[in-house]
Amino acid sequence: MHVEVRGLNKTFGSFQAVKDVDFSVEKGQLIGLLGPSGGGKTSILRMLAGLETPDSGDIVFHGQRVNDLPPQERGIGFVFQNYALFKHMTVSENIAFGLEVKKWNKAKIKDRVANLTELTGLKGFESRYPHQLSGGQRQRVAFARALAPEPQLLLLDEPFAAIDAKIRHELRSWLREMIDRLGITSIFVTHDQDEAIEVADEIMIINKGNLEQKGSPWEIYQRSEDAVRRGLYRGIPDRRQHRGASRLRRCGRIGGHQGPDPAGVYRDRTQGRVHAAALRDGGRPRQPHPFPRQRMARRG
Amino acid sequence: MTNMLQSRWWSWGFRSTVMLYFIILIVCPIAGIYVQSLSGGFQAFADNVTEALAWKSVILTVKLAVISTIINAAVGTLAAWVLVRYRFPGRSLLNSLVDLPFALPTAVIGLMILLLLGPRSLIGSGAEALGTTILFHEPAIVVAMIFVTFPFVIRAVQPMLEELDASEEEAAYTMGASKSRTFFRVILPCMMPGIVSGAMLAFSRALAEFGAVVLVAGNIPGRTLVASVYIFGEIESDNPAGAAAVSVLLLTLSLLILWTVNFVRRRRGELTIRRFWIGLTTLIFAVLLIVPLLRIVQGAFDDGWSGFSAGISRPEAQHALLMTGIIAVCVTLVNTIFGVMLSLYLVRANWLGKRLKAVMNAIVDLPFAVSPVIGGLMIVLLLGPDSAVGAMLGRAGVDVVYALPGMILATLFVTFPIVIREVMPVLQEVGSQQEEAAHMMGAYAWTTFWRVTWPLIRWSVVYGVILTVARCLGEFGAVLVVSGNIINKTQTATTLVYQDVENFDLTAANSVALVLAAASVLLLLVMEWSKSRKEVH
Ligand SMILES: Nc1ncnc2c1ncn2[C@@H]1O[C@H](COP(=O)(O)OP(=O)(O)OP(=O)(O)O)[C@@H](O)[C@H]1O
Ligand SMILES: [Mg+2]
Repeated sequence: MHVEVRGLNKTFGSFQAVKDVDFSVEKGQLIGLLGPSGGGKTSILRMLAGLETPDSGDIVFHGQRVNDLPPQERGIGFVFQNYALFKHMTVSENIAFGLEVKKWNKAKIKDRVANLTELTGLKGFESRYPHQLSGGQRQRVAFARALAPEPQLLLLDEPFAAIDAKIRHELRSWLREMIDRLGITSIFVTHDQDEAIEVADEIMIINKGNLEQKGSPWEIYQRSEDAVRRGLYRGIPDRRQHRGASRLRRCGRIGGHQGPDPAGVYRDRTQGRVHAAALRDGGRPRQPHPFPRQRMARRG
Repeated sequence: MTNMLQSRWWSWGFRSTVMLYFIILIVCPIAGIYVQSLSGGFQAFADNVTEALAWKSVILTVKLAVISTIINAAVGTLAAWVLVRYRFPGRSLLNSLVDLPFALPTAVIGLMILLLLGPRSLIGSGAEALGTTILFHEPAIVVAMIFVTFPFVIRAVQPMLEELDASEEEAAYTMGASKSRTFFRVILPCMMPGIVSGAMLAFSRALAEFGAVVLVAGNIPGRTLVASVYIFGEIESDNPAGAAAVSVLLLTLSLLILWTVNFVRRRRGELTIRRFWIGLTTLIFAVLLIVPLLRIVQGAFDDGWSGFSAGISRPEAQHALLMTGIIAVCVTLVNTIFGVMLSLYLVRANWLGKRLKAVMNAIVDLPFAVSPVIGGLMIVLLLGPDSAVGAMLGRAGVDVVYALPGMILATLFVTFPIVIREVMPVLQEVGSQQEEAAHMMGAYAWTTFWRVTWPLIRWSVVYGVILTVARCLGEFGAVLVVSGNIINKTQTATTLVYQDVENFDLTAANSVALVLAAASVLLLLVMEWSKSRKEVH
């Protein structure tokens, strides 16, 4: 789904949480919303979802203004920060909920739930309750549940925040792969620049309610490097730099990869993926794309 | 699109219905009583209040309420401590007994105390030998007040103690603090908000208590006549202005207390000794709760089984029990539905302003703090034959006051907060995200409520319903005022008990009281069960 946001504003009481935000998202893109705590990321997602009413501004899906559409009719999947799984329902009941609401017939629901549990690696856990699952498993249930009614847009609010660093890494690539496979337009919120750079097609930095920067992960990465060079981050022991460098190295390696690419089919929709397509055809991208999409695709 | 409009109309309709219910049931009566008492000008109001007997009754009430509150604060804190910190056989039984005074009809409580402290009883004759009398004197009133308000402090302190991590205490010990120092510097400050808010509620309830007190006080004007009984007397002798004036005084006091409680709530955030405390707590429970209950069972059979069955099979007794049943069913139904909806609105709705929500939140508790007699008086003033609305309804052939509708209305008022107070905390605790998740998957308000919200609050609602039923069965003061207590017409089980006692027919009173008490104990058991279910979810 093509998403466009124009002049979005939101105040809570006298506090302006979102100020004049404009952006657009191409169909099939994965956007990372990055920024400090309290910056207004969740507020933007909630307005897109229809859970919060903007004070002014337009939200446009497919060229149609949806401001007055209730959340039920927007066709959006939402993964909440703490998952908000229905505590009193099993995994499969959680996933089936949206389908039952849409009055699918029983057999179709069963099929779809089976498909999704398969896809998200939750087979065997269907009749467990959320409190009997690990954090990572819950995250996947939330993801499957949001995907079940075939949304056109997927919103994820810090999907990995509550998960420890190791599993987080795995889930991150898993998510990227999943979204690639389904080709669904997605916006996800994160605090973590590395995460955004690694996963997103495009990054938007939100600070104090403003959209401060918007660009490809490469641009964002370079800008932060520049900032480091100009001494803006002086004094902060710069882990960022190291990991950034390792990421670049990784990219170089992957840039040289030329083998067969089964998942390449999904790749020619977005800018980032054009490079991948070019790679597949044996050509080299003019500019190395700074994240290792192929690695994940191969795993899937 | 039509779907959307439809759902908007529905939600608009729901909202206005619930708000209207709130205004009619709670706001109107309160406004009415202030208007009535000041309708004769401030001078008349002042005269009514400063009338010697009225003033004395208010002073007496406040004095005795203070005494019973202090006792309850001390005893309640101790009991809460023992119940939370120590594990011993019978602990959970004691814990469920705490709610007994909430579950028992106040008239039944009055009767118990009457039997227990009367001149023919052990305690009564003992006191007489010492040269004092308890019954129909101040001590009896204090006992009644303590009994009725017993659960408040315990129930307020318990959660605070549970929250207080043992590690905080241990931290204090490791820093070299002695036991007593730790208690006073670490534990007591933690319990303080609970003690204060519990004591405040207990105090306001003691001020308001009618049913238990009227039976044991003797009601000697100027000596043992408490304010609520005074108000009742003024209503009976057809002086609503006098009744309203004193009511306004008590009402204002209650409002102040509620406001303070809200304030306090918002601000918070060794073997031999142990044996001693456990023993003491058990003893207190036994003396305060169990013995009186047993006494009523015994009292009902004073004249043997035939006395009991004669008492119960009188036509007026059967009719009274039937009335009580009808009222309980109607009131529970209405207040459950409106209570759940109002809780949803108070917690979730953003169409209600923050200020308004805070005000409504404070007012919701009012029926707990207001004397039931005042609740009844409000309805008489608003809808009685002398009022504009009442006259209009009378011409239309509908009697409200001194008839079933008025009694239902009075009971609705009294039980209004119960379901709300059970459901609201749960809604707050589970947050709105699960509901939002359901919206995102296409579920509208109705589906979301039944599929997501209801399973979460179900057991709290059940708990609230049980408490409501208990209160309906036990409601006395408000119903007495509104019903006129007409035999075989508007008499309920509790007002029949009252009348039997007034007629010195104690065995008959006991029979009906026993039925009520049995129902209460049954409810208490169901309450415990639903409480445990509530914890599961
Ligand atoms: N319902 C609300 N009422 C009042 N203020 C709110 C509300 N929701 C958000 N805010 C405020 O708006 C600002 C932006 O909040 P938002 O949740 O969008 O931030 P965020 O970028 O998601 O932060 P985080 O990364 O910590 O989740 C914050 O200062 C927050 O306090
Ligand atoms: Mg957030």
